[in-house]
Amino acid sequence: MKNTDKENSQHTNCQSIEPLLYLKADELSIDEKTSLQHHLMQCQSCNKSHEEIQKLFDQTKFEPYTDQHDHLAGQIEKDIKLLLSPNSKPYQLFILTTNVKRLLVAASVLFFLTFSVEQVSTISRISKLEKRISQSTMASELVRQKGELLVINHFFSWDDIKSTAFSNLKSRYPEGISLISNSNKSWESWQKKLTPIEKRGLFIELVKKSSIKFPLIKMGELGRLPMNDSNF
Amino acid sequence: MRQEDVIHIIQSVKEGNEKAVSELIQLTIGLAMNIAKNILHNSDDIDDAVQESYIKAWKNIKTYDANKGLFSTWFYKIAHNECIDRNRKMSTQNHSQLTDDLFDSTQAADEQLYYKQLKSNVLTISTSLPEKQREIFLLRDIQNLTINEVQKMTGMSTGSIKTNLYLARKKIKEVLDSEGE
Repeated sequence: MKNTDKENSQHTNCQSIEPLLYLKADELSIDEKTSLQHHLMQCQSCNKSHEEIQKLFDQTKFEPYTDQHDHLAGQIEKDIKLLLSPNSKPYQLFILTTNVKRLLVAASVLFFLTFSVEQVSTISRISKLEKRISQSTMASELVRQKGELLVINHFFSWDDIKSTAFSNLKSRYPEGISLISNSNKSWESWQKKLTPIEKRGLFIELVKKSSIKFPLIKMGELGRLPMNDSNF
Repeated sequence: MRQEDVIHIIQSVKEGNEKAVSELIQLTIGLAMNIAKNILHNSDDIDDAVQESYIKAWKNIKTYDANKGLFSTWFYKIAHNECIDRNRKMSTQNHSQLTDDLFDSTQAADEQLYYKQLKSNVLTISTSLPEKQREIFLLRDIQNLTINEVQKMTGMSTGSIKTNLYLARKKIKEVLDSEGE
């Protein structure tokens, strides 16, 4: 039991003394020197560590640099003064290259941004155009083959249709437009009120609109369109 | 010299004061040479590395923040990186030459090379120490300032300086031991 206490106490001592092992002789106070010497005499392990550390200090001692370096210092001074002088060519060159570099970076960023925006916009335009062409082709083909009117199943914002023909239609049949928006069945009874020219006008507007926004077109909901009409 | 004086000199350098440039060089050239001599082998390389370190330091002087640490610690890192880069380039270029030299070397030259490598490793390990420890280690072990001088320079207490020295040296020894295994 006594031995264990002694070992524990020794271990505590070793822990507390460890920082002193890493200090050089001239860094220790008198008290620190005394307690270190006292501990090293008792503890073989710390003594060994201390020797190793001090050996490493000797091996890695950085001697103060005392050689003459006036020539080099003078040369460096000259270099820096040249760089510091606003009239000096190296300084001007340095400023010039820095500014050119900045300009190049700014121009690259601007070019990249413009290119990206243009690219996105072109892709979007092409895609809209392609969609429009394909839908117009499909609508024309359907009308040519089956002679049926087409209508958009999902009636969207009627206010978007700005043509005069449609405005007239809306002012003449406001209740009809509203019914179309809500129910296809109501449309069937309402469309009977329309003259063939009005039906055609409405159809043209719907096809126009659908070719821009809605690919989904349903056939047969407006009834047959007289195909021999020259306006169509 | 106190940190306040160094800051004053650096401020003057930034303003283009030529006398301050000389002062700053005189203050730090010993440190730069010490680092370079312990990493590089050829005297021309040493001079070039020191010169290049100053040019780099001047170009980046605006990034130095006195609140974050001593100028010497900041400059130490620039000089160390410059020497390591140069050494790497030289080692690649002169690999075969160096190998021949090593075969021909005497025991004394071997020892010299070993100690030089050991110091170079110590310098490299020291760059990864925490800021305070690196600062104290640099002032005390590389620049060979006394504890009192370090105290004046940093304004830290003796106890704190000793603690930082202990931690820095312990860490360096641990890394060296692990590399040696």
